[in-house]
Amino acid sequence: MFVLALMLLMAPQAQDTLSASQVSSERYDSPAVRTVSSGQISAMPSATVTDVLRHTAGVQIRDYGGLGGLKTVNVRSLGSQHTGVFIDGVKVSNVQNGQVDLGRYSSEDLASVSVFNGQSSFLLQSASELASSSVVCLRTAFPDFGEPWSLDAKAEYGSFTSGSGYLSFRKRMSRKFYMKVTGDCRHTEGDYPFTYTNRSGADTTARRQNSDLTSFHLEPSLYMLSGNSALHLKGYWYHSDRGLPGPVIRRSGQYRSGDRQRDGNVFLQGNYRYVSGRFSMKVLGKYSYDRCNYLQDTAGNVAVRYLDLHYRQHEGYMSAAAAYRSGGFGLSLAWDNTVSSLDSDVPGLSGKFRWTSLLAVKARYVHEALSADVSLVYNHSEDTYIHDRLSPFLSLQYSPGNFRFLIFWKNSFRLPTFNELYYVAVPSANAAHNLRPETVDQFDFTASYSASAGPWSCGCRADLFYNITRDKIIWLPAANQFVWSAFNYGLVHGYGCTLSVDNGLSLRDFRLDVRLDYSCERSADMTDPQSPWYRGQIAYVPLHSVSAVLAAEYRGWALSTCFLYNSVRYRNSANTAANLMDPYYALDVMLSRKLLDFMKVSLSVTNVTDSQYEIISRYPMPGISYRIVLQVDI
Amino acid sequence: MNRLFFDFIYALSGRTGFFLAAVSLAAAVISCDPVGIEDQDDGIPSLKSEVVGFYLLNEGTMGMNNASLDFVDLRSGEYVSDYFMQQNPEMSLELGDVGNDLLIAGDYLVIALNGSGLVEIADASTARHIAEVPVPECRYLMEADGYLYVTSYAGGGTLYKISMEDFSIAGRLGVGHDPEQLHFHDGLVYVLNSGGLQYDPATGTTAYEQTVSVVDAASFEVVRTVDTGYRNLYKVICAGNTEYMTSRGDYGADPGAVFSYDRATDQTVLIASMPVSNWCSYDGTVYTQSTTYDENWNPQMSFGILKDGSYEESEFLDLSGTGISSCYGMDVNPSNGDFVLTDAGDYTTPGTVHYFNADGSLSWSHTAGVCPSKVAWLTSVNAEAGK
Repeated sequence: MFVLALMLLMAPQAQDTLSASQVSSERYDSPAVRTVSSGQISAMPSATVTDVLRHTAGVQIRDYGGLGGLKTVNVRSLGSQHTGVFIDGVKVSNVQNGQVDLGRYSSEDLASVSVFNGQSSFLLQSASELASSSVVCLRTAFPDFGEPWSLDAKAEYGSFTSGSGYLSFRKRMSRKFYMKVTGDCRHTEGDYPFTYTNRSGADTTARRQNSDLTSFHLEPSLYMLSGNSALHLKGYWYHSDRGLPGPVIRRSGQYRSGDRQRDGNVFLQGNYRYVSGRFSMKVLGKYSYDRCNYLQDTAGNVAVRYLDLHYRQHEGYMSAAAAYRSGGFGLSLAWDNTVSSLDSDVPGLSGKFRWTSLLAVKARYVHEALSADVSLVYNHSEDTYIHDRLSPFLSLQYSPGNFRFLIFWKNSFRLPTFNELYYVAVPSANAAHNLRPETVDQFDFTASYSASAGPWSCGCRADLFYNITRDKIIWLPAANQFVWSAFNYGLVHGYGCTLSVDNGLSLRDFRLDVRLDYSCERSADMTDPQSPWYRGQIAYVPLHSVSAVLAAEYRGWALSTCFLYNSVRYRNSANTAANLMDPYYALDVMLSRKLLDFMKVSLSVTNVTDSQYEIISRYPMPGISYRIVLQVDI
Repeated sequence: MNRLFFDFIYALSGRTGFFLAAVSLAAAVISCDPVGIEDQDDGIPSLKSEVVGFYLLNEGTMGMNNASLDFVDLRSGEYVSDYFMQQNPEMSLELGDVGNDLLIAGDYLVIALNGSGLVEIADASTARHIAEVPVPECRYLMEADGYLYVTSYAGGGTLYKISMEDFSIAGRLGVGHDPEQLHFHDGLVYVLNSGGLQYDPATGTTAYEQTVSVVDAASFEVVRTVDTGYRNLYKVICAGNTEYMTSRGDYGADPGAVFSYDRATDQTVLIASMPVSNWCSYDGTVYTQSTTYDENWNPQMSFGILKDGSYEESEFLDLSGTGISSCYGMDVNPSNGDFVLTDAGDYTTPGTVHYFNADGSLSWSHTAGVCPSKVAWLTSVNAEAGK
């Protein structure tokens, strides 16, 4: 029973209430979470982490286009630095620029992708999770201890000379130990064609150049399950080499973009859990080394300045959390410590160090259909400056029958990144200047309803939210256009609603899964009441976005489609015609067929209508592309 | 109801009508009205002088390809935003990236586009595209004796010489690092070198230049290199036979300077220990605008007058009612001494152009493009020549 309980605890949807029957029926228990399971992920035509998130209400992906283009996630336009990305419970961080490139993470081995608005409902959480404004959780698959071994392999080939290979091997070592090794490699030339149309309707067609990517990833894991405790140790190695095609701007004929970026990441992380009756605890640890090399080569191109920049980041992380429950009352404590260092050959950005300590307490009281959660995170950080802050969170949930009503307030913040704190283009000028953390207050009301009747199950969720971002960190030129520096300048008010509907139908051989998401969001720049652009919608936030994902399966055949629509956006908060970005939609389709019991072949077409659009201004997205995938699961 | 809402309904109709009910709810809560600069009343009084109007170059933001050119017709009082794009609708990539300098040379309007790495040559009276000349990392422009001289950061600091006959590159010449403005006098080109990007990570310092490269225009050779003694040279202007230069210092202990330079003896005389950000000359007097920064990078704005080799602070413009925050460019109408002052605001959203009468009173203000910086005055002579 304990083993089962622990496995459920480590599984994505599992709550800290441990019975199996509860877990299986708790899909909508906390209305503030949206979880996409591995089955749903693999049924999507383009199954990357970014594609899964793109189709989730309230989540925006900043995508610079192509496989190699930077992809970051942003929940309710709070900015990617406010969104904590967690892999198997441990936060991925980047102290230099605060951005996590989701393009790095493959989705093949994922058991689930969850997006928590505000906070997850688990009682036992690390302080880092409690401190993030919103949380995106990627969970890798937990092995099935009943199986002696298994193997998954996948090979794919597609447009723009793209190919990838994936292999995952899992083996039971003993009753208590299980091992898993996962690896993948991918390559793309990424030289997709695009058409650029100006405001007068004149267009130009070209191909993306220097847009290639080659990456390798290897991830060994060791699992232990014994009595009341579970351990997951994981190693991770990633290496990539990519071209940076740059923005599409007017250039003289001789121009060639030859910028290259090489990334390397190694980390080792451990996750230990112990459950005994009313008491549970977990210990997390991680050591990570990240390096990035940015090369701007002048060979054959006098138009650029030679740059060969190296960034090296080390990070150590430890977290301990314990929870105790008695009757309707639960209490948890968590203490996280992170030490990060950055070295680089960029002026002012070397030998930088930060220590962050988070102490969190969370209490829950459940009385019949009513439950209340309170948490408080005390944050102490030291770099050149010392910050001490408190982050409170309050929520109240009422769950009559199949309905869930949740109301919450969360106050959270992010620290300035090292780029923001220390980067000045003029080294002799006053280096670091003190920046206050960027603070967010989130108010949210969520209602959900779930129902099932025979083969059909349905869940709907609606959210109303209001956010205030204070002391927003913004780059402004100081001295001249070459010398930019970060300031606490902006104030943003965001409000809107999201709706999501999940439908499932299961009739003997036939299965259908339909997910619909809609979000409407107004994020107004309230910085300067004197400005003519006061209350302008901030950059890249669509007022409306719609997503529909449909997956059907019948006797070894599967068909799925994804549709995405974004209304007009603006390049910046000056909402003028010149800054307008056209609305777009994209449709992806996949058809797959089981050839043998363990073998599947699928064909997918991405952006079927070849729509030409941008998410980031001057970075066109790929048009239509094809992909064939052969998959083996033994 | 606003445009976004209708756009949304249009996009959805017939596709996913399912959401319409939800949308109505959302739209009731949310409104987002795009602000248009198109319907702004220009309110520009018409002026009759030999200056027909002026072009205003908006730098734009690096990588956004949003450099733009506005035209103000002072005779009719009409302000035309995005004039270059309107006049050249077939150019799909528009004007280009980071407009750095602008001048009118005879029949031609010349624009240096730093991010695009080219010099755009257009018709002075119509702004119709004529040619482009590739000049990587181009900075400043000057025209003399049928040639266009362009400073460029590329190749360790280069001066380009371009023939205005056929727009071909007549020569490239190595000068000091990161050359900025340049000046022509009596067959010689004086190039101010900054060295502003010569950062050495090993020592953690920048090797600023303090030299002027003096180039013989005809033979296109450096005849001498003058050490001015002032670091990080930036701008040069000539008024009443005195040549003034300004340096930006190191943005730290060295605040920069304004000094005069004697072409005959290569001697310099310090006038003020402060940098000038923008200046313009009218009738032998140089009007200056300086932006300096305190230790927290908060800008401090000051104005002054340079005359006969001496500087004095002067509030020659009445800024009350302008709400100016980030002064970015200044120029003077050569026909009557009226001033143009531009405000870059937050540097990413469209800035503002203010037009002052010669007595310093504000005449009109108008929304410009992103980072409005340089002005070129179109005279009736230029305008007629192009037709």
